[in-house]
Amino acid sequence: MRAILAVSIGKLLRFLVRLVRPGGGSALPGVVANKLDPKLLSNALAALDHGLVVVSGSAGKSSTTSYLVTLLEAHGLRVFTNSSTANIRQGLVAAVLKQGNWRGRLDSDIAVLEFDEGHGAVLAGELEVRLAVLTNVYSDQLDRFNDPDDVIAMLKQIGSAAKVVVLNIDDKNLAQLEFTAPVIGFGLSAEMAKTRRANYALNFGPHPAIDAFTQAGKDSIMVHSEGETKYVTTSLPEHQALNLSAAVAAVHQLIKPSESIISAVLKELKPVFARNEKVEVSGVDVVIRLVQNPTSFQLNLDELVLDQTPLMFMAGRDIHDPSWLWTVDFSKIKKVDIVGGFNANELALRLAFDGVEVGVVIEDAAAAADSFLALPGTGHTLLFSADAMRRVRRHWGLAK
Amino acid sequence: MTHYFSFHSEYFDNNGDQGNLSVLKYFLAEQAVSFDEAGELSSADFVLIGDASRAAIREYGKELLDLAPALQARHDAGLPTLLVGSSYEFLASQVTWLDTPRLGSVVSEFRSVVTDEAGPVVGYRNSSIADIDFVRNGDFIATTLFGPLLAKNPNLLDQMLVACGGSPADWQPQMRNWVEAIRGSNSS
Repeated sequence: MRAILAVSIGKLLRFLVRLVRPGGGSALPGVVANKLDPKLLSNALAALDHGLVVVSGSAGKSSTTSYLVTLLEAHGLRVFTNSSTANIRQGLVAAVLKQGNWRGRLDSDIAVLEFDEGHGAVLAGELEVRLAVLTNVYSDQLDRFNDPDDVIAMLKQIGSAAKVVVLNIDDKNLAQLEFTAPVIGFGLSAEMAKTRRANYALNFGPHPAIDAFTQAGKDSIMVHSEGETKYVTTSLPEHQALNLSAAVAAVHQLIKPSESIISAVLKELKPVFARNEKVEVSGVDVVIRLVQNPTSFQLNLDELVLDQTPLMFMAGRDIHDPSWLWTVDFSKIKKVDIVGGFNANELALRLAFDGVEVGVVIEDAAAAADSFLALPGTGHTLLFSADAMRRVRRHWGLAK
Repeated sequence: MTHYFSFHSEYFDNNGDQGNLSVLKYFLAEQAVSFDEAGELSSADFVLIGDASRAAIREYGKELLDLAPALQARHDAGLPTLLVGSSYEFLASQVTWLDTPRLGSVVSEFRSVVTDEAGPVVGYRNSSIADIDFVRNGDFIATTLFGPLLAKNPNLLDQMLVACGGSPADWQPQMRNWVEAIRGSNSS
């Protein structure tokens, strides 16, 4: 009865919020429904035959979750999942409201959920977690987490709630963690590790050796399973290799996958939204890249083709403490045509002190997006933080 | 010729504190004042010890403590020094020449601290220090505020530029506007 009331009111609120704000509106209905029935989420997940998988870490959560969901669906499983913007409690409850029936029951076999590190540590203890994927620890969101030590502790909590832990063995912050559950390792091949710049949070301790179940190469994933080594090829860009390695390792722990299905899926996989994705807006092709922390900003800058213009960088409200922008090396960039978003002035100042010419600063995300489309050139490239991405997506009608 | 020393700059850059050097370099270069790295603290005119993660403090804390006598001498003489964030918090808990701050829970927020000489000093902080955000003796500054400090506080920047053999910054109007906008939005 409690669940029916919570779901009914939640679904109604969701409908009303989306009338006013298309593409948005997961927070309020989630908060209200959770208040009315605090067990709505845990009951919905506990009823799934194949259990709950959680994916957490500083970066790579959305991509890994998306790839794992695709792999499981290709094997015929019905998967309940959440969007990257709904990876805290109210967002997860909102996902149940969206996809569940009036009693809050899900028509799914398994759940694969992206967990925010902080909220996930609390949530994991309340749920039965079959498998946890831990992606990495960066020096990220220090205004929220204070220090990477605290993030490591949160991921340890998430992993400790799981029956199997799949973790990134290249990040010694994770490799050092001890779990009573079996640990399955994923990482990059030795060749890839030489060329990829992964700035994991500082750790001066030892790097324990853990066997790799999967290793990502330039265009293939090596799978070490049951004494055999197999390769599956992928057409995804190189920067997605580690996330794919994680998803392939996880899927082997959840089901007995078909090699041919994995191969077929990997050939067709596309990066998740805004991970070096090309979109067409009002007849203009725009390459969009999400930057969420110093590491992802640096990796995206490293990959930029410099003769592609115009260029817009946006730093939104999600960057509560913009100090980290000063740790990114922008010196290879000559000019940024528009700097936008709530923290545009901070980003512009940083760019100027790194010798980068700044065209114009436009704090309002929608106005910046319009001005950007109006600029001449055929290589429109946009790097934006999560909040700026949400605002621009909504303004351009890309939000679903 | 002016020399700077930055303590393990690669690791003590948790919150972009090395940006203080970028800002000094930028304006000193405009003023044709050479500003080069010193091999050691004792031969430096300007010293920066940035904010660092707990892992870095665990690894280099003893080395930082070994520098405490030299830092005390700089403090007492008011020589140009920036001691920022967790490094300030760490040293203040270990030495007597810095007032021991009262510790509480960690507060992460923008803060504006009113000072006698430099007016309001603006910066982000992520610290468990509850009472002393800004300590100054001449050109020696110890603070919880980062971001980097000199980029957002023109008065302090001018003070350090002069202390480093330069003159007050001649800002491009556009850049000055950005600084004012940042200070304006974070001064409450």
